[in-house]
Amino acid sequence: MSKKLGVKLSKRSAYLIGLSTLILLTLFNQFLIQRILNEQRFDATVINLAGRQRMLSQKITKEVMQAGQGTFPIENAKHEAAIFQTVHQGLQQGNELLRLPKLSNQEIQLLFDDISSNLSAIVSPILEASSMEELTVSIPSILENEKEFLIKMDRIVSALEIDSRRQIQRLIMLEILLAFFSVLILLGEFRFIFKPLYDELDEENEELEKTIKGLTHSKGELFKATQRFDLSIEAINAGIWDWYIPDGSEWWSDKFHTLLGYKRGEITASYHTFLNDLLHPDDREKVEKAVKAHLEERKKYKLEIRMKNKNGNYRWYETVGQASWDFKEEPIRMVGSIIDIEDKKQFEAQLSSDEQMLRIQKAELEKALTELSEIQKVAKIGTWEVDLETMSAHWSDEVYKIHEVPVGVEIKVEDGINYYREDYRTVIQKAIDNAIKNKESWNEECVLVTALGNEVWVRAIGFPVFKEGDVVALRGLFMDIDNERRAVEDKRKSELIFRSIFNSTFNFTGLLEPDGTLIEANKSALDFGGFTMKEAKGLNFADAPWWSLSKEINQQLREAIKKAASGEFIRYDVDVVGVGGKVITIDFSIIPIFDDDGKVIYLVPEGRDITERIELEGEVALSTSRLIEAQKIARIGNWNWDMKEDSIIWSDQNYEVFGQKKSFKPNFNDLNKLIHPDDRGPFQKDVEQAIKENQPHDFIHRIVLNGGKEIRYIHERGIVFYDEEGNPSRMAGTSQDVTEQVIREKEIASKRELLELSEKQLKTFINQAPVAVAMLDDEMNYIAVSNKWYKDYGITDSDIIGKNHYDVLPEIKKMSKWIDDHRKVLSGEELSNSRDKFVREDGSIQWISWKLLPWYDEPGEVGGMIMYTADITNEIKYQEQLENLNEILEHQVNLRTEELNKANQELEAFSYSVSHDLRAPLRSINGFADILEEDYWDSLDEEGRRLVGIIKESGIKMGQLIDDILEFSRLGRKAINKGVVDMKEVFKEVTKEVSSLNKDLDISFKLSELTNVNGDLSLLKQVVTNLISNAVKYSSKEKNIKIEVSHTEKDGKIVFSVRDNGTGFDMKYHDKLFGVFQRLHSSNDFEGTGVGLAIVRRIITKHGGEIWAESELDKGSIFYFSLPKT
Amino acid sequence: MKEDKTVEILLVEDSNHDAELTLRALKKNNITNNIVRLRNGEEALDFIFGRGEYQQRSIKNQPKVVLLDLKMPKVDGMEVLKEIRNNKETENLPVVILTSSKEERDVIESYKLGVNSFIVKPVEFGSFTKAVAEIGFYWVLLNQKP
Repeated sequence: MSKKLGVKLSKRSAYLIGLSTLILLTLFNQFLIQRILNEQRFDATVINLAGRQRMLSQKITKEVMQAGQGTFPIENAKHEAAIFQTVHQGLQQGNELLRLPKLSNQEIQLLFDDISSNLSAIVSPILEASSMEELTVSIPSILENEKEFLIKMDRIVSALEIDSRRQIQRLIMLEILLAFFSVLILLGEFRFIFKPLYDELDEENEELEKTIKGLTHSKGELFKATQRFDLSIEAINAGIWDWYIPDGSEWWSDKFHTLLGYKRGEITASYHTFLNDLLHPDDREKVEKAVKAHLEERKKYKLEIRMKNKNGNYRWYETVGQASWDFKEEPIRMVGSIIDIEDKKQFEAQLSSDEQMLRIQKAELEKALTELSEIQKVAKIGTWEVDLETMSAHWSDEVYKIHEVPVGVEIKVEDGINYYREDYRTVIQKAIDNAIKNKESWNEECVLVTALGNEVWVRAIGFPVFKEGDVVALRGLFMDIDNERRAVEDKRKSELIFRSIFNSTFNFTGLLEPDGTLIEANKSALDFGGFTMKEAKGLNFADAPWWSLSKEINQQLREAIKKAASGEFIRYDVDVVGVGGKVITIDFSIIPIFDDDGKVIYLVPEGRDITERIELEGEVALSTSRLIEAQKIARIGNWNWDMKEDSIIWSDQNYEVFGQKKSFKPNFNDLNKLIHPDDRGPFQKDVEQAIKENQPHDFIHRIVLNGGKEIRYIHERGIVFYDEEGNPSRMAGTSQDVTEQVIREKEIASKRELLELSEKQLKTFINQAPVAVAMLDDEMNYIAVSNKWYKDYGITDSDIIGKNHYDVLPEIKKMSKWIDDHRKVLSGEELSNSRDKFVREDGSIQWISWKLLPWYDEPGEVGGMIMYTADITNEIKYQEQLENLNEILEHQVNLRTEELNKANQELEAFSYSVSHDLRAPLRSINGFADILEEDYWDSLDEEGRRLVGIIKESGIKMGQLIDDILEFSRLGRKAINKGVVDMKEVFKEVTKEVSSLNKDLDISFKLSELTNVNGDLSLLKQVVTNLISNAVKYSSKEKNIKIEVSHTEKDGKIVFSVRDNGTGFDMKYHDKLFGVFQRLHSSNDFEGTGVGLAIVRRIITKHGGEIWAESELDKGSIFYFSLPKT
Repeated sequence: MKEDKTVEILLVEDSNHDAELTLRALKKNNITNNIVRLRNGEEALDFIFGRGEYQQRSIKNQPKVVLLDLKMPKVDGMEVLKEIRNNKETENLPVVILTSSKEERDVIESYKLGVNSFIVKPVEFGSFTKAVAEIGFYWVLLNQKP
């Protein structure tokens, strides 16, 4: 009992505890939700406003400056300053109007206190200024304070941002708590209330449900709050922009910069920058439109735009903005934010493309599946597989059925081939080999011999199956196509039979569409007509050449086709015309062919040659009836004129000829009225003459019909009959409508006239042409020829028109090549030759260039040829002469070259012997003079000693001369060996050598930077050595020798100069400087042979350069040499 | 018939004057021992290879240096040099060309054939003496035969 009670109590108390806990939790949850909802989020606004303040201060100072220059009214500056001040106070102390709370953060409050002095230093002078002068005085202090204000304001903004972040964190904590309690409530529902008390607490259930509803509601609120939370996060993650509309300047928050990858200051914040540099060009229109809509119609400004990051890539951003307007409703500024939504965008794009792909794939798959099942249903298709690894085969049921093998019987691999009829086994074997080797599939139509011995047509499709690149199995389809194949075969057979009968019959037959279009005609008919089916197909049967004999026959046929198309069987005899104008008479019939509904679908025309029969009949039937027929055909009518009664009787055909109704009973006057006014007189005259002179009347006149619209030509023929007294009584005759003939004749006549005219013009044109041109017919007779033609070929015959080309120029008869060419041109080729030999009858040679063109007559056949020729004999002669001359010249050049070579060789031999033979005796002179001096010094008196000295000196000098002259001549023969030469280096080496050789002299060299040249190193070194040695030599009398080397560029050449401060020379003799053995100083003053500069010039000239010098006596000299630029 | 005595310098020179000057120059520098002067290339070859007049001479007994003029009657210096270098037993014999010719082709040809030195006889006697003395010192006193 007590136990029960205990249980009951405990249940009740548990319920109570549970319920109260739940209520508590719910309440607490509600409280939290309220807290979050109440959370005032002013931080973004504050940061925003602070940013603006910063901008405003800049603006005000700018305005003050402008006001100072008188370009900005001071009142406006005052107005701005007032706003500036109010906002600032609002930020610091809170403002109802601006919906700003009082600042709670102590630290920021302090910062604001600090900035106040700067603010009032900016604002006070503006607000208190009563005149421009006052304001101007305080501009420097305003500027100073503005600078400080900016710095401090930046500090405040960043402090605000930190504070804002702190608030967000608090909010997050609240959200987490909220979520935690919500979970507890949910747990409470299940664990504490529902499960243990379910049976007993129906009533409470309702309440609980209410609670749950409430809870759900709370969750809804929670969701809203979360959204708000998200928004706050966004607000902070967002970059802020503030656009001052009048001047387009903008302020961008740090976050704005970092979102775009920039640092503050790296880009100029302005609306212009945003539009032109950041915004994606494709989004520009969208932005401008939205801004306009927002500013003018106050529509919401929220866009997704692309902006360029510092790295050059575009990213997606969401931007929202809100403008403010002044009292005149003019927009002043617009403030907003941007958030990076690139990830979201990409995700969206990915999602949509994935979705689309999936949808397409699914649709395709479904389509393929339906098609497959349909096909399989209709066609008998089976599948098979051969596993090449285990060498086992598998067939689907349908394959068994096709092979007529009981389903399930074990299949061997080779069965796959052996069931084919023998002639197809190799085909399949090849296909399989190819599939394994080349990994290609096959698709063959083959004949199978089934297990029951039936032959069946199948389509075998197979393809290789790969595993890691190797073929491991073959798989494929098997289709029973026997019915189709047999149907095709049967059709082909029956068609073959039909065709052979159709074509081999002697009768003409064919097949027409009901409208007469020719579908088919048999061989006999085509052979008779002389054309092929290809030419006739699609033609109307009546337009085919068989029926061109006369209009009547043609008309008759057209009517017959019409009747036959309406189901009538037609048969009549008719004349048809065949190849070569052969006319035969056929027993012609048209048989209509009906379909199942009784509709005519084809017409079968048939004709049997009955010419012989007709010819027999014809002789009998050649009578009046035939005459009538003939007259009808020829459009001839009869007439009889009773002169006495003046009445004319016309035959039926005559009425038709005159185009009159049968009721018309003419007399002569009536007839006259029908005749064309111009013809009446002559006609009457002819009639009168016939009567008077008893002559046949034969006259063609015109008649006018349909009020002048139609004119016919009538050929009248008549005879006059006389009575017994010899008076004319009547006249009888025929009238024939000859309109067509007359018109045709006229046309021909006018055409001929035109033709004759143009031919005449052509002939004149050709005749006067300044080139040799001739027009010939296809038998090589001249039609037209130019005067030049006569002249060029010396034709003495004054008129060759109509004469044969080969008779006029008989030598061509022997030129088979030309005759062959003529034949080619007459068969349509165009030929030309720019240089051809024409051996004339007298043996002279004429060189010509020619061009032959075929010309075509009206039906498009070659009518002959046109020859254009030019006599180039003189040019060829000149050319030959030129060639001869060249040959002679070349020969002469060769001769001269040889001579020159010989002379060179002689010179070489000469200088060699000079070098050797001349030096030897010199050496003896020197040597023995020396010995004389050494050994006989004591026995020589003063004069003898002096003389020995002279001998020695002269010998040495002569040796030097020989050496120099040899060197000079050697240079002439030596080939220069070019390479890049570092001139600075060359000069350096040479000056070093020269200095060491002249240690006793005080020489200072000055080398400037020298450029490299292309030349022979050793030769150029010789040049430099010579010039430097000369410079030293001729300056040796100076105390301080100064030698300067430099270079310039002139006319594409490099000019080097060597300047000394030596004795110089008289410019009068400057042309003798570089000659061999030319000296301007006596060797008593300066040693030398006079060859050195000659050698230098030779080297420089060989290099393609020049050498010259400038000087003045006792003032030094400058030697220049130039070398081509590399 | 000439006996097989040891020779230090073989001077091959057709000009008596030049020979005299050369010998004097050597003498001046105290190089007077065992100098033989021959007048042309033929004699030189006979001497070196122990032929003709010099049959007694052993090919093994060679001078320390051969001073060879280029332009000589009968067999010229270049041919002598060629012969010397073509023979196994004489290929290492030091040969100095001593000539008036300054022709580059002679210089190149001589070095191609393997001459040890190429000296142009200076016209001036002082220089000539100096040059000859240097040859003598180097090839006779300093050089070591292989």
